[in-house]
Amino acid sequence: MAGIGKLNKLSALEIYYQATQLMQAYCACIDEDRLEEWPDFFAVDGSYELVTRENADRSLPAHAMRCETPGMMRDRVVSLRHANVYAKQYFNHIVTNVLIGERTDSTVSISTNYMVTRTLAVDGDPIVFSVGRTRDVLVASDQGLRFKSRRVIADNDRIHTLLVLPI
Amino acid sequence: MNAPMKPEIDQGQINWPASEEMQVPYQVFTDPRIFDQEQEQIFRGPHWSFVGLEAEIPEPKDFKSTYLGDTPVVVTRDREGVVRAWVNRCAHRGAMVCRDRRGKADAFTCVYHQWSYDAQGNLTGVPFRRGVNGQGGMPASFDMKALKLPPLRVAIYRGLIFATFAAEGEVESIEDYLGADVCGMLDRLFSRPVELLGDERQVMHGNWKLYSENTRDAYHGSLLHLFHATFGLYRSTQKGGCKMDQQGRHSLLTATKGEETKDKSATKGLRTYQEGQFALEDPSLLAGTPDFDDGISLVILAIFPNLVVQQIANSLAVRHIHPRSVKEMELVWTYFGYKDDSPAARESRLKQMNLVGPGGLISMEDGEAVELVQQAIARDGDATSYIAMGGRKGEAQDNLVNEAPIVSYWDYYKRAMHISSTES
Repeated sequence: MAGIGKLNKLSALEIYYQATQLMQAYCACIDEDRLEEWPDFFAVDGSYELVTRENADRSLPAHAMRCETPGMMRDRVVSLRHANVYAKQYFNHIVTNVLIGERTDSTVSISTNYMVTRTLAVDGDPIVFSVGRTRDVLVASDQGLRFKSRRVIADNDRIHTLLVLPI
Repeated sequence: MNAPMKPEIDQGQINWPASEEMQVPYQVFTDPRIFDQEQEQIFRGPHWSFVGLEAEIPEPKDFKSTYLGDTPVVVTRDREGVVRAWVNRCAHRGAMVCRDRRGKADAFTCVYHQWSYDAQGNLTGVPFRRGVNGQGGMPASFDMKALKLPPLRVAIYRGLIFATFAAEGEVESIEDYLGADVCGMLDRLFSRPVELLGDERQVMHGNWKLYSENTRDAYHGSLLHLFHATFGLYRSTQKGGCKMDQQGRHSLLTATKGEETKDKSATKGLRTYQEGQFALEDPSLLAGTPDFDDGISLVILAIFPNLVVQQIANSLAVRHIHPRSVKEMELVWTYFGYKDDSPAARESRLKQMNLVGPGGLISMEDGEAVELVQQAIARDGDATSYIAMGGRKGEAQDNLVNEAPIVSYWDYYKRAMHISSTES
């Protein structure tokens, strides 16, 4: 495999660095409103899911957003850009408590805690929009690590006004 | 329990024009006195409010806590399997007794002084009732039976649980309250046993009646929500219509897939009518097999005062309106499928959750619309809206470019709140 090599051969420091770099680039893409690049952080068979703790704790499958393919992610971005009506807003992701989990040759599990603030351009006051944990599986690709699956589990089961951007 | 008699809204307090069109004074969305009156006249008045699905409390001892209007209530299934509901407030000093959103219990103990109740809300235990060493304790007049968690009356239709503060005789039977058309649609949607898929919760910083209007409003569908148009999946002249119950308080909007009137002139020049510039890269999002053979692909059934039942393609949900204050509401979406869903059918429902809810590609704008109104009407209580699409009478329509259910909603609201129009 070109690029990053076998993941379970990397040092703890190297895999931590690679994983956190991916996470930070991913968050910057959303925070800087480069949504068109969002699906590129996923493997070609990558998937994304945003659920609440209320449902996850009951093992119920309802979700706030679920894209099973990067194609569905691109469809959502096209919809956000051309169809949906919402106030101009900014997300700011704070990601911490990065824990590296199980590794295979090609995948690594990673968990984080996150907080996302949302600021509406019209009034300027940020709110804590979402807080929770992520449970992701990353996969080695020619371009470095990509999300094979990303599952965001929000502590807050209430969404204020509407959910526009992914986390 | 009888709802306390409260004075009607003083006609001097509200100016509702007696005009040809429906003109709703914005005061009804901003005045805390009106919000208080609604709690008495509507939520504690002669109406049945939705409090949950039987599927949420399938077994004896299951419970859920929720709200009826802004009153915290608990819905339980007692040991015999009978559904009960009571106000979640200890008879002792008023503390909230049940502090879990859902669970299993056949006794409920207030944490404050450990007064305990059974699933029916009867008081069963009071610590130190007889005092300690002959000191303290309750007086001789203390009667366990006289104190309880205030019970509500419960009625169930097709697995939907409704509760009321009104005494028997003060409100119709649930079948009469809903009316034949509403019952017919619930029969259709709940003909098979349901399975819960989970909840979503959305806070809208707006008055609950703005959402009641929104869900009775076919007019906005193709104008605010542009997902279908953008991807070439929908025509704003799609066939559909609306019906109301005899009282005009409930609204049944339906639309049928694949039938459209080709009225090009109607949509000419509309900014929002994009004729499908884009195509879905992953069309599996919409690839479900219809659940019903009647061709109806959209149902928005708004049941007064606090329930919306939806079928949007294969996405099924009940939406429970919880008015938190005059300018804030929570909407709880409970998604369901059928117990006998095939794996493919279940998958379609989950996929189509992307279309609806607070992050739904079709419907995310509704929260925004509610708030846009609330923000703009902050001061001008005597100013009014202007609701006239489809005429003043609020009669059933066989089109989706009318506001008839909104007109009939407000006519009913005025009657329920004992508000008369003022002569101009």
